[in-house]
Amino acid sequence: MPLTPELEQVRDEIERLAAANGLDFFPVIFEMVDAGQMNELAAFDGFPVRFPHWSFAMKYDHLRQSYRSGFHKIYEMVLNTNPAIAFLLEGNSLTEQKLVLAHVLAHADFFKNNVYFKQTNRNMLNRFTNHAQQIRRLQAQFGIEKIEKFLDSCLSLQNLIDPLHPFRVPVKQPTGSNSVPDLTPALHSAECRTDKPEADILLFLLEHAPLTHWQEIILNVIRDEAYYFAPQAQTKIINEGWATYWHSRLMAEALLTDATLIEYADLQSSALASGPETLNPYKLGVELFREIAAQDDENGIASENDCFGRVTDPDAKNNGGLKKIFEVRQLHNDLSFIDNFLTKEFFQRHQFFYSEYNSVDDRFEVNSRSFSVVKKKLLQSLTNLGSPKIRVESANYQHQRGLLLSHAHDGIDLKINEARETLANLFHIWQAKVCLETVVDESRILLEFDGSEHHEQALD
Amino acid sequence: MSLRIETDLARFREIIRGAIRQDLKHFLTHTELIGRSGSDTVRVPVHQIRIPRFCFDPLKQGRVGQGPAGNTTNGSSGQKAPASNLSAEHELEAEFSREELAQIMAEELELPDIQPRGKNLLQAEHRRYAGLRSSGPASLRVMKRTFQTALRRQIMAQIYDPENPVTLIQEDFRYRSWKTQPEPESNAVIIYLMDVSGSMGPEQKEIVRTEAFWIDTWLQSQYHNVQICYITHDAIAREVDETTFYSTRESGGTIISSAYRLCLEIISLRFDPDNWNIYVFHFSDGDNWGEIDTQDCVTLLALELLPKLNLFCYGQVESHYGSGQFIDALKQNFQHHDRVALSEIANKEAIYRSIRQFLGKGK
Repeated sequence: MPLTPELEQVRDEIERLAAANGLDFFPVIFEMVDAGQMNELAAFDGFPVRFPHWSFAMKYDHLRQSYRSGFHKIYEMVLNTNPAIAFLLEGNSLTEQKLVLAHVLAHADFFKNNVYFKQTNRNMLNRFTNHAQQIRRLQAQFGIEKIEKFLDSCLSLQNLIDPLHPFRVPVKQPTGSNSVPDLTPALHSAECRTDKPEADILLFLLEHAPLTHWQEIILNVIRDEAYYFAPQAQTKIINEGWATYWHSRLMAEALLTDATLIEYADLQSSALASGPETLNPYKLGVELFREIAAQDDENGIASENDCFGRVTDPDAKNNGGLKKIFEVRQLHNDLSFIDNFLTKEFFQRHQFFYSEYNSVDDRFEVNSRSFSVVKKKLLQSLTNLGSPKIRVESANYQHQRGLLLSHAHDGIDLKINEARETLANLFHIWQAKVCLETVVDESRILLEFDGSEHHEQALD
Repeated sequence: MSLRIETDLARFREIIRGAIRQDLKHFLTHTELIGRSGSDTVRVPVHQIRIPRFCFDPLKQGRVGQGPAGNTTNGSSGQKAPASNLSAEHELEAEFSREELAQIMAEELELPDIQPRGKNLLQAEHRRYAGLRSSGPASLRVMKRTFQTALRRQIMAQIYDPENPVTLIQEDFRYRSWKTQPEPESNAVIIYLMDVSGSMGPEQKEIVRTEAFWIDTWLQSQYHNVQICYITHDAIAREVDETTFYSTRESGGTIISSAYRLCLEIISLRFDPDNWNIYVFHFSDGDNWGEIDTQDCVTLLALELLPKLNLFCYGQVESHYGSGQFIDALKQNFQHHDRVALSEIANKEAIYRSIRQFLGKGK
């Protein structure tokens, strides 16, 4: 459903306001949806159409239960497309919708200008629809269960991409037979290890695994979508921070009336609530942006932000701070954003800490409040999209066409039972023995799966 | 509006059903499930359905949080984070209606559908809208069909005028009509008898409770109207409510015939066998007081109770005290009776087999 005439008017006003403040976005198409549709969209990662798979339903079922119990409410969804498409929740109050409209426009600005999104396909809606079509066609041809089983395996490996090299295209080596993978000379070497370990495991599989044509199609779909979502996952904090910064400013400077102030404050406080259990990306992001804006202002004309993030001195507008934050939103992702701008002083003001699990008391306990330790842990959790760094070391391990992966262990063990299940899924694609080198409780081990049994051996 | 996700959802439910079926033994003895079943739906925890990934162990990963920690100063370590009672893994819960659950159980246990007793097939009338007629009350008027009729009539009579398209006359009006259909009425009553003498401990009662849950679930899926009665007995029998049934513990001896007599009395007063499908489930540790009473029971069963019942089930729960002879007497007399099911339940794991023995008869 399109916006109501009343909201259409508000949207015009906010778009004008946002543009006047320097936000630069693709045209935005707004759609109103009900809570059920919103949960569905969220389960589909924002898109109205995805390929058929039960895992979306699992997510949806969880969202539905959680919504019914009142644990969450999704206010909006914005797609990184041109024109941008945004979904608003029906039945929200006017204040809520104003806030959300402003928030959405800032997201759209971020998608358009942030360097990590520059190369993304802005026509992904069509691409996803095509993916869905392709997979439905394969289902019709080969049977739902066969396709589903292969999809399960591929999805199980979806995080094994290399976010630092997102635009590589698989080059299938010309081979005589489809069943024997053509290995690069390095892979045939006596050590059976490559000089250049491959971090884009999905790419490696596309190039070297014995895939049939339909399997290749599916794996390509999964990899394509994984890379499409990678920039989103890399910019959660900075993107939400940016959107929150702008909705706060636009609300406070122009859109609030005396009558709606309390409602807005209530909304804002629940959106920015931050607790010991999880870091709120909205809160962290917006505070950093405010910090950057204020600091760069101090270099020029001194100004203070009041409690709404509003610059109290109107003459201080359009100064260094504002310029700086626009530059930051263009050039940074979460990792560099936090690395560059989370200062010791900011850290202490916001009382961050790092907690670890204590198995005796079955709870998390504060382990450190030291700036360097906590910041390092925070950066570590954002590295490689929060996934363990796993690379292909050999495709001819033990001269048996075995696939050897290694986990670059940096202090955190893998969840071993899940790693075993994942290996079994990898076997389904590689069709020969698969192994993973990792570290558990400070000793190196090798997990193996040979198609029927799991083995584990110590390496030290 | 129907959602696109419905297809995925249907497939997801199928996968969960498959997982439950595979793990049915576990679910049948899952007492937490029963405790939570206040309403018509049951939430079933499903562990193994997920897409596995190479991921960090959440317990070894640590977290970054924000906020002051209690009354400690910054920088000190080893302080406790404000309450974070964790469940490390997000537990997936699927919601099932009891009827759906009964279906899954029936598929896996290969339970036959129940054939209600022939003479009890009561005819009840059921009205259902079917078809149209040309007269009726205004409230049942069907405008779409009325206009279609009018249009057809006007075109046929060649008086159709596009400017003033349809004029309705009395003959055009169509009304919904209904048919009455005879429908077999299916009432059932479940009468649970349980020995509450001293030798039945909490463990034994837990088994009875679990079995009764599944029996209820199954029979409720088979009949429109199911009533449940509870009788406890030691030396004397009493009719009680559900809570009392599972919580009473007496210390007296056991005279089983007292329960059978009370059961008979309830049937003759309230549940005419011509109108009701009657199920009796009796759970005891098999320790009866004296050979004479056991004989009494057999006679009562054979002559008076069984002719009135669809099914008589006796489950003998193993206990530390019970001598367990009662089932032998029943075996001698009713081993091959097609309306008697006998089962020995040694422990929780035996519930699976026992349910199959009870409900596998299709009576």
